[in-house]
Amino acid sequence: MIKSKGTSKAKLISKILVYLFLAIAAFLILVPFYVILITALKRSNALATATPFIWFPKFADLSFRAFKNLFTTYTVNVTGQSLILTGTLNTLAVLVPCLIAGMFCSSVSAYAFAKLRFPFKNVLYWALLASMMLPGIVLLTPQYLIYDYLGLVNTLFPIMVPGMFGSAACVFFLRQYFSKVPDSIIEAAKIDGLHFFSIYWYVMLPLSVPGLIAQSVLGFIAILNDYIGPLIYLQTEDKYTLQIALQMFSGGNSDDLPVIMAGALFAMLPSFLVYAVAKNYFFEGIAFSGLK
Amino acid sequence: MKRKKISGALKSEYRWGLLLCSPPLIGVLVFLLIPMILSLILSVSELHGYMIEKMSLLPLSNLFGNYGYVLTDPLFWKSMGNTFIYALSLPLSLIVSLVISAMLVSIKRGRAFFYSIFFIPHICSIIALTQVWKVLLNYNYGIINEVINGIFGKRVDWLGTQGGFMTAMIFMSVWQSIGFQVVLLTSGLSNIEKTYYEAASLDGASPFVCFLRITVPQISPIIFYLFVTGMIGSLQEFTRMQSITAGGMGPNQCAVTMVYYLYNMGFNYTFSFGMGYATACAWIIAAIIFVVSVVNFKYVQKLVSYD
Amino acid sequence: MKKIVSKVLCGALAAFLALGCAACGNSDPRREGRVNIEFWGWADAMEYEVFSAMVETFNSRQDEIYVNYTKKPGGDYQRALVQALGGRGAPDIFYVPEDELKSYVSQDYIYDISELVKESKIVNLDDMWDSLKQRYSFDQNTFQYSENAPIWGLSKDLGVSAIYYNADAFQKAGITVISVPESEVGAESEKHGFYQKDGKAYFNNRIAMTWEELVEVSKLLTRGYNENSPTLYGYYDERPLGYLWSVGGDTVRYVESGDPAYNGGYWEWTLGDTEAHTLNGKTLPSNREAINFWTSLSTGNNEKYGLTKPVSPYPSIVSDQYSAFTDQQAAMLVLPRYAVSAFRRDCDFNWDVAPVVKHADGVQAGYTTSMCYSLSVNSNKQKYAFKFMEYMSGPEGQAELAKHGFNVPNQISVTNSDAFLKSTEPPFNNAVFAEGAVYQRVGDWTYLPDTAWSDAYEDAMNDVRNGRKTIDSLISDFESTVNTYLKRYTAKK
Repeated sequence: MIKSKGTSKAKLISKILVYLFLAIAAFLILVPFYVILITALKRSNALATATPFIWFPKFADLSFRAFKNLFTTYTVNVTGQSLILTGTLNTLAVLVPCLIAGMFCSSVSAYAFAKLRFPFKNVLYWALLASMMLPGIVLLTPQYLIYDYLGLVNTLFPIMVPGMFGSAACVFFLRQYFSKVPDSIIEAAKIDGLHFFSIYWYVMLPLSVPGLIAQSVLGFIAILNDYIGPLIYLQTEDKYTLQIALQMFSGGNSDDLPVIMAGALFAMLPSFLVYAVAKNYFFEGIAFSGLK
Repeated sequence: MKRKKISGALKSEYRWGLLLCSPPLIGVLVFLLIPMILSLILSVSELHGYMIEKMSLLPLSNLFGNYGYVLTDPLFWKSMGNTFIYALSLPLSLIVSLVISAMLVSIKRGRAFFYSIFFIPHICSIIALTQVWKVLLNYNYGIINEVINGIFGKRVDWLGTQGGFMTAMIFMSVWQSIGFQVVLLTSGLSNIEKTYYEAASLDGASPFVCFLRITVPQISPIIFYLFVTGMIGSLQEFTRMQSITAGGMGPNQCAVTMVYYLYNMGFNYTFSFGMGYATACAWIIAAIIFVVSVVNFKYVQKLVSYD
Repeated sequence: MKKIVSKVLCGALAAFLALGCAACGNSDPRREGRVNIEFWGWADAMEYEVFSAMVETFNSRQDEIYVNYTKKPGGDYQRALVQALGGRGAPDIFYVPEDELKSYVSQDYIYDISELVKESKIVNLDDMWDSLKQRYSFDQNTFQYSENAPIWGLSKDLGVSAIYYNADAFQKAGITVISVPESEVGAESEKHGFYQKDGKAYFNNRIAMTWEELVEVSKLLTRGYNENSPTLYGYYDERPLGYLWSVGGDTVRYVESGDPAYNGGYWEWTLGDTEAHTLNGKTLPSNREAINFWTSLSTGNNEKYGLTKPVSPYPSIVSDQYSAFTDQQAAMLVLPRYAVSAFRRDCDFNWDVAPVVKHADGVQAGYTTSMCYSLSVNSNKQKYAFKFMEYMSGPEGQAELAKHGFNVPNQISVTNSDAFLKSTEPPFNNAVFAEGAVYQRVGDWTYLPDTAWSDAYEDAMNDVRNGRKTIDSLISDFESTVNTYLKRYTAKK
């Protein structure tokens, strides 16, 4: 009896230590984000770059100036539009078609590989999976030459269109999803006179919605944060995506720290929103990839 | 009569199957296979600039000249060394993640909360994060120096010296990647059956021994997976270095990783070095990735217990 | 509760999406019916304003050509230009950094403008500084300048370097600044950039100091030597070239050779040479001694002098130099002319310029920087683009730029005119730039098609200056690396 009291005390202490450790770790993760926010809100560059760093500025020293400047001061000189808004628009122009078409193509393909019979099925499937093994860097130079030949450099085409055909990883993921659907459901649908595509559309697709969302959020983040492609292909400010706009911003256009931080915050905003809305889908998508 | 009908339906299934499965395969053909063939040709050709019609094959006697040229460039070897040094962040972050995950599974309340905080850096744009880290690491007003100054009474020139730069980048990489690893490791840890631990504690094993003897082997496949994929990712490190140096090479060229080197040769100094040179460099990097992966599967995997 | 939160977040996401859908751009109606010329450059906000105004003047003056000026981000300019030139999206006219031109020309991406220059009524080559002609007129294969070599670009301007000094700090340190040309100085003992007379210190901003004189004046302005010094450091200089050239040395040397592996010869790194130079019968320091002295001026390496500011932390190297001067930390700073407009904006003290330091027995030497306008070989509008080029590079454009205090005009007559020399804002001693334009040289970064060879040891040199490394170990560490790069330029393929 006494002994169990002792162990429960030790347990309590170890529990407190665990929480303390986790809290410190979480604090270290969050500090940079606090620095962004507070720097972006500081009234002037001098305040932001003061030594020592001002952790808690006076209320009077806070302002939304940096956010206002972010959208008004830095413009694309051909169009006169705000650089950061242009970047946002271009990112959306890539993101939306790429995500919708990519998800559709991946899922029909996954459906075919999971539930339909056709010649060379396994060969084609393994060929698709094997394509994941090739490091993307060897394609950087030849792809650029091809796009340049086709006059597609400095357009959104090279960063948008390849993704619209779907990805091998996504097919792999969704195929597992479809394989779990019992064949009897499909047989029943066939008897009801549904076509192969109709089966996909009316039966399989609704069943795979959670999987699709999990893949979409990962795709969303990947496309949003894509850097090397836009860096190489986009050459004029009116074509920049959000990431490139942000990099160019700090790389020469501005030495105003609050504005750069406001830009960084703005560039992270879409990720934050998607994460807040669909947090568990992220974990699902990732956990799956590791447990295959 | 009956046979014919079935084969008709089957034929239709064949056709639909091929049609529906094709989009990603077309994508692979057009955006991967064709460029890959061109890439192989390009790596034994000379091309300064980007007009494909100006490409000319190297003479047979010197067909692999580009490869030789890359391998005799001191900067390429330096970039390889840099890349492997940055890859040290991988074991470090795995250890940190493992500790955090072990703690996370031991608690119930607040687990989801911590979980979602650790994951945040993983989803953020690297460009935005490097801007922030530049501020954190600043010599004068950076808070990291402030803390160090408070404890040791001096400042570290993080971005201005080779040692400082590399340490800072490794630290940043750990900070950024633990979220992803924690998600996988905790899901693995919570699948370990309690009976193992109960049996062990009956034998009087200490928690530390339990951790080493039960926990680590049980989740070693996940650790191995994280190690292999993390290694492949580390060997292709580029964005962070290009962004934090704003296109520069860092102190004593220590920011130049292999892919950054390739990018510079292909897109900054193409008139001096050329696309053929850059492509040969890309294949050398691919070969290094391949070798490292083979080593991983052949030797490191032996340490993994699958049961 | 959870539902409401997620609804709010969804709404925010939708708002973010809607934000992106801003209106499209509007374009200048004057473009219609004219030859459209695409012009790429890079500039800070101040220069961009002036250049935009000049482009506007050009556009409004005639109705044949419309120039569209695109400002590229400075840090990314080179890559964007290389990609556009080497591919299919080249602008018609663009800036070329001086260290890049040779590699562009070697790959046939630059249009030879010799004929256009010859026919031009605006551009007068005889009136252009020699160092500019040497930069932009050279043989396509040997990269050597000759009078009849093709011309690849017209200079935007010329960045003559000088010592920028803080006049207020000099005064506070008890140094009297005078401004008398050498020819008008009577006494031989006073023909110096810095001298003591009757216990008083004089600084003549028309005569180049020797290194010994620099050390003396810097001691007065360095807190480590003079407790009452108004500034922390005396002198700050980023490049050792001036010293090397002054004693007759250089960083590299071309060696002719019959070795079949090379096309006639190869380049060699000479920074570490220990042979003494001789000039006019006098023995001068060797390259290694020169570089050793120069690095010893740095604080980190302060056994001896410790006068200059420590080398600044990467990567804010340029702005750090600026702020060292504008924050009154360093009393003297060597930079090309381009620094003027920023100093006019940021310095709230009196300042002016003086000639760069020379070795007592050596020649006067310093480095210049420049950039040129060039035309794309793949454009079919060269004739029109050249019209814009000659406007910017000709007397009118140069006079306009001189007015704003940017670089030294590319033409001798404009430089020597009141438009440049007479100024209501500092620097007042503009003769320093006009004289410097005559003797200053082209930097070693233009010698070869790229700078891979010097990039290799650039940071190690900072370590030497900060006292973390010796010059001897730098030479032995990098000798084989640098020579590997150098030999590649002439190696037979």
